[in-house]
Amino acid sequence: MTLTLSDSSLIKSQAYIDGQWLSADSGETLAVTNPATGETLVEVAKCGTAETRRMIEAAQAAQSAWAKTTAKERAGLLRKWFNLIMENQEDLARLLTAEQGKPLAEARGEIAYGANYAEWFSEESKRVYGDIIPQPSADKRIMVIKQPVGVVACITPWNFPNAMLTRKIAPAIAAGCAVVCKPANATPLSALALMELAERAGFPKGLVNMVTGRTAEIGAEITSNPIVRKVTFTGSTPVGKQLMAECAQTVKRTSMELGGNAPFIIFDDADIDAAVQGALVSKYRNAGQTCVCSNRLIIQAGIYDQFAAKLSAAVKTLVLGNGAEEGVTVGPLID
Amino acid sequence: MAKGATVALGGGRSELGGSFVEPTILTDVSRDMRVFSEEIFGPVAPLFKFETEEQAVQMANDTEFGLAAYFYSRDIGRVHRVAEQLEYGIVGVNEGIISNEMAPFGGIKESGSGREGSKYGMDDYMDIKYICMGGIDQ
Repeated sequence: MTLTLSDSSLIKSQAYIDGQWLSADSGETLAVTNPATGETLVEVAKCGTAETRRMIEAAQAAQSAWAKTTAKERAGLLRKWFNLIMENQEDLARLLTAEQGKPLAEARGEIAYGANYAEWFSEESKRVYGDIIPQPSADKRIMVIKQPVGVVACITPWNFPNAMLTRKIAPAIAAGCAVVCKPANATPLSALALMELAERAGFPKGLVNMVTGRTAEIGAEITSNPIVRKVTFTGSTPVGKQLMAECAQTVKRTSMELGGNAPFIIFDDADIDAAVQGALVSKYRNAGQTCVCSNRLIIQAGIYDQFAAKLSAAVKTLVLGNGAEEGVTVGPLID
Repeated sequence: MAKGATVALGGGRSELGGSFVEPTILTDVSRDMRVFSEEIFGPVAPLFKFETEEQAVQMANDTEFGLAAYFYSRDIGRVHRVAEQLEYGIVGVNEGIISNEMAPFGGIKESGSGREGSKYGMDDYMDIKYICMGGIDQ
């Protein structure tokens, strides 16, 4: 295997449930491959309904205690997690590039970007305020408080295998929730490494949990189990619609971050060179595999030919190749 | 290509083989082509043409999605008008990289609901409880 980290204990192959690293009940595994080379990196646990139910129950037990902690305690834990992510940035980046394909420089950027959410919500946790509202009659007093939703399920995609998870786990933990996670089977290693670092940071057992494996079974348990009060999903629109429909049965809250079809408009009074650079980064970052990538360039007639020519010249400077090699700016597609 | 688009650059699988696709630019594209209405999720840029500001906004909004939109202009009036009229959760003005933890990230229409990051990001994980106390005033 070409994957070498300075700390190889960040490479996990098992599910993380109630503070324990466990193989699937069936012992089955699924392969995680390097999209640049096709080689198998690691075999991870192929879990199903039973393991998912156990992690949901573990999260419920942990959440009732966690909801009683102070904001300062929650802030401190998230800060420790942030520090550990940044201390291990290089290893996490190599792991990410190996399983996902993006250039190493982008992977380093993603780790820092994702870590920023842990830092931000560590800080925000102390700033959750309620209201005292003027009473409608002399004998009443009205107050509004904010309380954690409960057990939250995070389902994340392969295009940002680290940051899409920290963006969900951090605010959930800050709010006093516990989480159960299902990362994309194509890129679970970055996600499992985040669980390892959470364990090192001292997250109480059951507070964060993760399974990999049979997507349909795991998803069905998550959306039907009434203990899960919220599902947060980033991924394709068709899958998002299906999850929303399934969540309707138990009236769960949902947050959905689905597909985009971003227009990129250039008016004739634009700074064309700036527009070319903007189009380049917003279109070709992660080989065009992000939800906010410009999908359609819409150009005013007067500058159309000029812009097309300048864009072609700029695109020719992109270097296609294996993301682990220095100098590569566009990696392989993941599927 | 079958509907008349021109490949101005790239257009194929790279000689590197496997999952490598060349960065590609398409011109002479029209709104009835799949590249207008479907998310490509790969390094392919179709270039559409417009005449008026109203047309640009209408073309931009002609989609069930509403996550991010970008536009480049140096006219301050146009910048305000277009930013307000675009049916998107995120608008980048003279800027291609918009995501950071302090700003609310999320879409409208079929791009979804909820926001990640920012001071609003905590709301997605909290429930509001209204507590009404009576019998206070003797």
